[in-house]
Amino acid sequence: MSDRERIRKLQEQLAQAEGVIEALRSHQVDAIVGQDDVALVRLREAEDAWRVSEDLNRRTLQALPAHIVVLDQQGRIIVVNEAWTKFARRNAAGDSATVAVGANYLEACRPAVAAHDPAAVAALAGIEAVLGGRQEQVTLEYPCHSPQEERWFLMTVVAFGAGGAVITHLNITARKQAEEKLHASLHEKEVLLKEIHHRVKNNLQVISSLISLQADNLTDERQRDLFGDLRDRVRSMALVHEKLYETANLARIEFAEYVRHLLHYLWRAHGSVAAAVNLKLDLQPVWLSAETAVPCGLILNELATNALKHAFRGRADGEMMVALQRRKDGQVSLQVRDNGIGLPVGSDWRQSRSLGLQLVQMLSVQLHGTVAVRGDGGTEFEFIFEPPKPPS
Amino acid sequence: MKPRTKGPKTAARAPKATRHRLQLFVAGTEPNSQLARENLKRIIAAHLKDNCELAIVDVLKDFQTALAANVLVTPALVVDAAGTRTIIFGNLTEITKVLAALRLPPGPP
Repeated sequence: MSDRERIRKLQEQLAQAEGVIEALRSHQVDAIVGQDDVALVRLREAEDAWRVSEDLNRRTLQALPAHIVVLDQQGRIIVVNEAWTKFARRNAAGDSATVAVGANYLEACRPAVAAHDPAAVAALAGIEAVLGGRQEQVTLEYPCHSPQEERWFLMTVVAFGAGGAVITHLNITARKQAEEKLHASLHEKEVLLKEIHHRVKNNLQVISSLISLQADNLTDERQRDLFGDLRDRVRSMALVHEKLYETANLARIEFAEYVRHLLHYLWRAHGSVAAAVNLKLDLQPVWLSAETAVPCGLILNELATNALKHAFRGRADGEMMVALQRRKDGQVSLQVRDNGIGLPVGSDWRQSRSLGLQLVQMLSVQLHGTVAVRGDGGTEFEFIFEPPKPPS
Repeated sequence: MKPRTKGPKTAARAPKATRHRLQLFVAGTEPNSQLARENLKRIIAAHLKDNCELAIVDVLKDFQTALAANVLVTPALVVDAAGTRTIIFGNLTEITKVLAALRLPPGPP
């Protein structure tokens, strides 16, 4: 056989082998013929399942509304979906080929990073963190406004294969705009609520001033006293609303601060009598809702006023101690203690005809609390109650 | 336009003087083998009519013929035409490949 013939023969064999390989690769082979037998090639079911899953993946990728790009470890684009291509065609600042398959996405990001676009800087850092294996996943919300419209995107970078990454950009403008509307509406409501508390406080203060004016015209000391009590009660309620609009959350107040403020007011209102009484405070921060703070404030007002008026009768001076504690069992304790003359021997405070003490009883029942009275070198009232839990 | 074979006119007139000898190697009724049978039937009907001689060999019954023809996998079509032999492996879905082996111009008849 001549060399030429031998070469031709080898070429033929090579061409045949190629044909066999191609048929195998395209899954068109049923059987392999051996020297003594035939082996059937039955890969079809597995192949079909694989093909279906591959097809499903491809179609899913195309069907997703998010703009999706898959990068290799160097940041080169290896796969994009339809949404990505469309967005790139419409929006690429320069050439949309810079974000097409084969281009390097990191390079495409660099001009925006060089221009100090904070979103691009954060996005690139996130992508590099995932490509570098430092993070498994990165998410980032960023603005990407066009001259015509406001746009927001959520970028998710997930590690893929050997050092690559899948990046999705999902348009979240609608959600962002809804959030902004919600924030605006919430802010508007807060402003309104603040305004309402302010007005309630102002109205209560007007009532308290009217009572004072009316009392000024009275000559009877007892009547003037009654008007004074009424004024203090209204003032103690007004103070809750004042604290409410001063507080950021508008629903709860810090009651220790309220106690300080109310007692300061009472000491001013009761002038010379109060001046001789040394006030001591032991207050822990306790947050109460408006519904709880109003009756609680009234109880404190009654107990403190009662002590100022009656505990130190015939004494040159005295001491009053007010304590507020959040106990370990979650209950709140409000104590008003004086070192005055004590309650009349054999008297039951519950039977007292004093409107103030009757109020204390009624309001403590309203708050499902208990009032304990101890007399040992003075009088001690302790009101214990469980503040209702705020709605979560 | 109907493609014309370049053979002598007598060949067209005398259908028994076949120019193509075809051997289709299949493995029973395996899917690709079935497909190859159907594809070949269509190609013959469209392009060769009676101008060929076809033998179908089932390697499950006779694999010696396949070995002798140097057919390693099935389905495979061995075409002997104009003194040369061509083997096409696969289910014959790519008609242009088959037509090339038959020395026929691509496209519809």
